[in-house]
Amino acid sequence: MSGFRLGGGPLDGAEAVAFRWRGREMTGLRGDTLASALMAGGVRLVGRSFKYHRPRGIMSAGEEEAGALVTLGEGARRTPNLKAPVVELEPGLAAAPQNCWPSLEMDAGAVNGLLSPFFAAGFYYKTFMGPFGGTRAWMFFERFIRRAAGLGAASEAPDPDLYEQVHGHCDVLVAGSGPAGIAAALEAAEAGLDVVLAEQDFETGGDLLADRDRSALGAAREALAAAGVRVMTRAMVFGVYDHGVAGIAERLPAGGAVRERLHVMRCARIVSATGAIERPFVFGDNDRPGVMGAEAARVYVRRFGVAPGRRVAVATTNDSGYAAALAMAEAGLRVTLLDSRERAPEAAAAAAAEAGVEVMREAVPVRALGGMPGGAVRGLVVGRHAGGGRARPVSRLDVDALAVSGGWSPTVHLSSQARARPVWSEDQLSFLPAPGEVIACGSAAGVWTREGCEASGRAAGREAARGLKASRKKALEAPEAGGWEVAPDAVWEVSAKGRKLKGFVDPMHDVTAEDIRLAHREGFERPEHMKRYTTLGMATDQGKVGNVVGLAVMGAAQGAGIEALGTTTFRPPYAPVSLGVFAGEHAGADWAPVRRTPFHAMADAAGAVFVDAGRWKRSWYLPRGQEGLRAASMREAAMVRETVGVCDVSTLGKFRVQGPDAAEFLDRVYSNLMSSLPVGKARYGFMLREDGMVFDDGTVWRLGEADFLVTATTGHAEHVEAHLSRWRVRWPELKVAVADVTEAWAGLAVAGPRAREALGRVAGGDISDDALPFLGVREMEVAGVPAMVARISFSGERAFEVYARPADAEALWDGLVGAAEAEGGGPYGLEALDLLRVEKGHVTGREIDGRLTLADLGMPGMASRRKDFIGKALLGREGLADGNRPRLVGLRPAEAGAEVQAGALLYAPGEETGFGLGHVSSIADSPHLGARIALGFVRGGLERWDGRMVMAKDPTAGRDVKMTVVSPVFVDPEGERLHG
Amino acid sequence: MAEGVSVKLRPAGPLWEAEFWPGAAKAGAARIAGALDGEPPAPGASLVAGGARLWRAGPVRWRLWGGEGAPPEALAWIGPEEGAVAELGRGLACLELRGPAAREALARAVALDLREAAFPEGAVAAAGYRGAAVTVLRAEGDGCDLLVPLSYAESFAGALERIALRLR
Repeated sequence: MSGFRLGGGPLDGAEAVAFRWRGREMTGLRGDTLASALMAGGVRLVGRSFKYHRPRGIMSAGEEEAGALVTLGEGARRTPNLKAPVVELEPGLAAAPQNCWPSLEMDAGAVNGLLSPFFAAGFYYKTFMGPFGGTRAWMFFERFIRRAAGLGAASEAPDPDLYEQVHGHCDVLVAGSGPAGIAAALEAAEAGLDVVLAEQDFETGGDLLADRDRSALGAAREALAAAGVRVMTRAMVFGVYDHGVAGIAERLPAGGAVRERLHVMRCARIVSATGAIERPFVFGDNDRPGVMGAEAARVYVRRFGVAPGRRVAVATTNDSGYAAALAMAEAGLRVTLLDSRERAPEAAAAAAAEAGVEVMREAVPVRALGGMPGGAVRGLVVGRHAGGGRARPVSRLDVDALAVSGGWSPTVHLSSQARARPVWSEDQLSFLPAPGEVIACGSAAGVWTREGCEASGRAAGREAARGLKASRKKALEAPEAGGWEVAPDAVWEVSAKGRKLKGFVDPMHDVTAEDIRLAHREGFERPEHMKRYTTLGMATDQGKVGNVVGLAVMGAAQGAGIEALGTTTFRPPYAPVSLGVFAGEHAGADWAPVRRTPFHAMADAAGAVFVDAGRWKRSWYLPRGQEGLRAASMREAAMVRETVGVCDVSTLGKFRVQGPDAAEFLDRVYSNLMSSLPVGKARYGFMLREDGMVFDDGTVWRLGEADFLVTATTGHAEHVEAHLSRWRVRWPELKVAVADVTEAWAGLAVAGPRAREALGRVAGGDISDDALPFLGVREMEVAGVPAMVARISFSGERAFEVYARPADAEALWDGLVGAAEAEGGGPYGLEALDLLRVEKGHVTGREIDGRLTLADLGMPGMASRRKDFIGKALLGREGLADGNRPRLVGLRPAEAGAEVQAGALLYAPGEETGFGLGHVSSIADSPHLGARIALGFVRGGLERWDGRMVMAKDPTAGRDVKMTVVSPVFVDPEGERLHG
Repeated sequence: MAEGVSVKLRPAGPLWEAEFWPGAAKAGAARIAGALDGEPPAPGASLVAGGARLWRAGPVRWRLWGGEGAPPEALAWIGPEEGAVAELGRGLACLELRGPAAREALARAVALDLREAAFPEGAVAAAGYRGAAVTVLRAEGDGCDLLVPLSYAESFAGALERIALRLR
C-alpha cells in the first residue's frame, strides 16, 4: 500500500492524472473520482459544514454525499457545491474546499459551533422577532447572516461554456446500469425495442464495478452492445415529467465543444433501476472526517483501490455491512465489525471472520472521537446495544475510519416524481416505490441480492415489452422486496444514559436529532413542516441521506411510526443540474431568434437603427449625421406632416379569410359589421374577447365576394391567428377558411400630403380620389411589381399601404423610397410612426391592454347593434356601462417640457393616494405642436375632466407632474388632412 | 458538403394550401392526388409526383409544394363550393439539411421522433422551433427540409449552421 492507494486494485497501471487541490499539485489515476484521488492522497478534511463550520470529510461514493462539497474550476468556470465522489477526475481539474476562512484547518467560522445553542432549528424565525421594534433586529442582522450562510459561491462572470439540448425518443428508458438496469435493458432489447440505458456514472456497471472479478461486467457490456442498447454514460435521469418525458443531464468530458447536454427524452416506458442509498444513523459526532458509509468504503476499496483508513471499524444494523468489512479485510486493512443485532448472517459472518475481521455483536458506536486539527476520527467509543438504539459504553476502539450502515433507502425519486407515493415497509425499514408509470426494479424496488436484482430487472424489462405489445412472453414474477438473511435492526439513533451526544441526522445542513425534537416541541410535526423548519433534506440533498432517520426521530418523539408520518414528495431534479443546460445554446445575443422583415437589408443600407419589437427587428429611426433617436424621429415625423414618408409595416398580421361564409365569419369575430363591406373597400374594425374587452384592432379588406384580407396589430398577430383558428373550428357550419399570410406579403406605408404624388410616380394604376378613395383597395403594379394598394392611414395624413410579395421587396422599397425622396420626403421609422399616431389619438397595444371596452376607447359606436358578435353578451354587463370607468383622454404637461413617462398614475390634485384616476399610456414630443403630449385614461373621461388638472405621479422615477386633460386628438380633429 | 451535415437556405418556392369544407375533404383529396397520379397520402406521409409534394396538414387541409401554375392544375378546380386555396410559399423559406448527421442536427431543434421507423423517407410533420411553426419533411437519404417562416429564416439558418459545425 502506497499512501492510501491499495496495490492490486482495478486502477493499477492506469494513466496518471494531474490535478490541483487547494492550489496544490496532486496526482490521481484515470478512472478515479475526485474523492477517490483525494483519499488516495491522504486528504481527510475536505470542507466545512453549512451552519456550524464543522470539519467534514468524504462520506459516500455517490450523489448522496453530504460532506465533501467542493468548488470546481476557477474564474468564470467556477462551480460550487459539487460532490467530490461524483466528480470524474480529469487532467487539469482544479478543486477547492468551501465555507472556510482563512483556512480549511483553522476556520474562523468554526466559532459557530460554540454558539450552536443559539443556532438551533428555526432560529431565523424567532431569534430576531420582537419584543422591541418588531423585526428591526432581523433587518440589521440579515446582511451578516446572509454573508455567513450558504455553501460556496458561483461565479458572477458569464458562463463561457456551451450547453445544448437534444430531443430524443425511445421505447424504453432504463435509468441506472447496475445489474438490474442491465437485465431490464437486455430483456426489452431482446423483444426488439429501442432501449436507452442512462448511467450517471462515467462507467456502466453500478454495483458490478465493485466486484473483485470483473468478468461479469465485461460480459454485460458486450451483451448490451450486441443487443443494440443505446448506452449513455455521465447521463443522469434527473426528472420524470408528464407523458413519459424524462430529463437527462449529460456531462461531457472536459475539452470538448459542449460542456453539458440536456436530453429531453420521450419514452414509451421508463424503468427505474437507480439502486438504493445507504443511510447512516445518529451517534455522537457522527459527522467527523473519516466517518463514511460502509458501502462507500467497499466501493473505494474495490473499485478505486483506495483505503478509507488503516484501522477501520464497520458499524452496521443489517447484513450489508459484512460485505464492506470483508472487502476491506481482504484488502489487508484491520477491520472490526460492530453489528447492532444479536444474530448475524452466518455465512457472511464466517467469511468475514476468516478474512480476519473481528466481529462484535450487539455493539454500536456511541461516539466518534477525533483530534485537532481537522477533527478526523482517531477512535470510537463502543456501546453494548440494549435495543432501540439504547447503549451502554463498554470499550474504546483505536480506529482512523468508521464505515456505517444504518440500512438502505431505495432511490424512489423517479417513481415519486411520477406521482407514485412511496410506501413504508416495516420489514425492510425503507420506503418502497408504489406501482405506477415508472417500473422500479432491483434495489430501487428494495431487492437486496445480486440474483434478485437481476431477476427483478428482467421482470421489469419484460413488463415494459409486454406493455408495448412487443412481447407475447409470459410476465416474469418479480422478486419480493428483501433478501437479507437476518432482519435489519431499527436503529436510528444511539443514546447512552448520562451522555449528551451531538449527532447529525442531515450532515449536509447541520440538522441534529435534537433539532428534529425541537421542531416537534414547537408543533412542526408533519414531514413537510419539519423539513422546512429544520432544513432537513433540502437543497442539493433532496432527502437522500437524512430523510428516513429524521422521520424516525420525529416518529419517536410523537410516539408514532414512520408509516403514520409518510414522506415528503420528491420532485425533480434528483440531484443538482447546471442552469446552463436549461438555457442550452440560446444565450447571449442568440437568446431569442430574430425576425427580419423583407425590407430589413434595405433599411439597414439606408442607415436604420433597429429596435426589438417582440422578436422583430424593426426600423426604429434613420439618423442623418449625428442625429440621435429624438432628433431623427422628430425630423421624420415632421417630414410626414410636411411632405411624404415611407414606413415598413410588414410586421402587421395578415390573414386570408375565404369562403361563401367568410363575411358571416367576420361579422361574428368583429364588433362592427363587415358583411356590408363592398368589394374593393377596407374597413377599420375591433375584435373583442368573450368577456367584452377589446382584443385587437385592424382592417378588413374585401378582395372579392368571398375573399377577405384581415390585418392585425404586430403585437397581437399570433394571438389573432389562434383566435381566428379557434373560432373557425367552433363554427363548423360555416364554409370558411383562414390562412395566415403574414409572411407572404411585404408592406410599406406611404403617408403625407405628397403621398399621392409619390405613389403616383411608380404606380401602374389610377390612384386618384375617384379610383382609390379613402379606404379603397385596388390591385395594380407598383414599382413594376404586382401589389395590393389600400388607402389607409395611421398617421392622420393622406396615406396608402402597399403590399407586394417578399421577393419583390427590394423593387418596392427602391421605387417608393425613391419616389418619396423626389417629393422631398424619405423613409421613417417606428418612433416617428408612434409620434404621428399619438398626435392623432390613435390607439395601439399600449392602450389596448386587455382591460378596456370600446366605450373606454371612445368608440362605443363600433359595437354593432344589428348583429351578434364575440363579446357582445358580456359587453352588456352593468359595470362596463359605468360612466366612471377610465376613458381615453389626451394629456399635456402644465409646464412645457416636464418629464413624464408612460405608466405614471393619474390623481386628482390633493387626492394622491390609492389607485387614482387612471394612468398615462403613451408619451410623445410632437414636432407638429412643438409640445410634449400624452394619451392616457382617466375615470369619467373628457366629459368629467376636460380642461382640468390632474397629477401624474411616477413613483419609480420620483416625479410628480401636473397635466391638463384635453381631447386625445391633437392634430387635425376634423380629419381634413386625411382627405388631402 | 461537410462530413456531418450541411445547411442551405433557399426560397421555398410555390406552396399552396387547399382547405375543403366539411364533407368535401375526402373527395377533394382524392382529386388532388389523382391529378398527381397517386393516392392521398396517410397523415404524416407525403406523395411525391410530378415535381410536387402533397401532404395532409390537417383534417380538411392539404398542402402542395411545387408544381406549375397559380394555382397548379391539381388545385385549379377548387371553387367556393368545394373549399379555398391560398398561396403560402412566398412567406416561407426552405432550410435544407443534408448529410449523415442531418437528423442528429435536427434533433437539437425540434421535438420530433426522427428515428428511421417513425420518420422514414417521405415523412412530414408539423413542429415548433423556438416559438415558430415549422414543417419538417424527410428528404432523400438522410436529409431533411425545414419550411420556416421567412422572417425567421436567417436566424434559424444561423442557429442550425452552428449546430452543424459542432457535428462536423
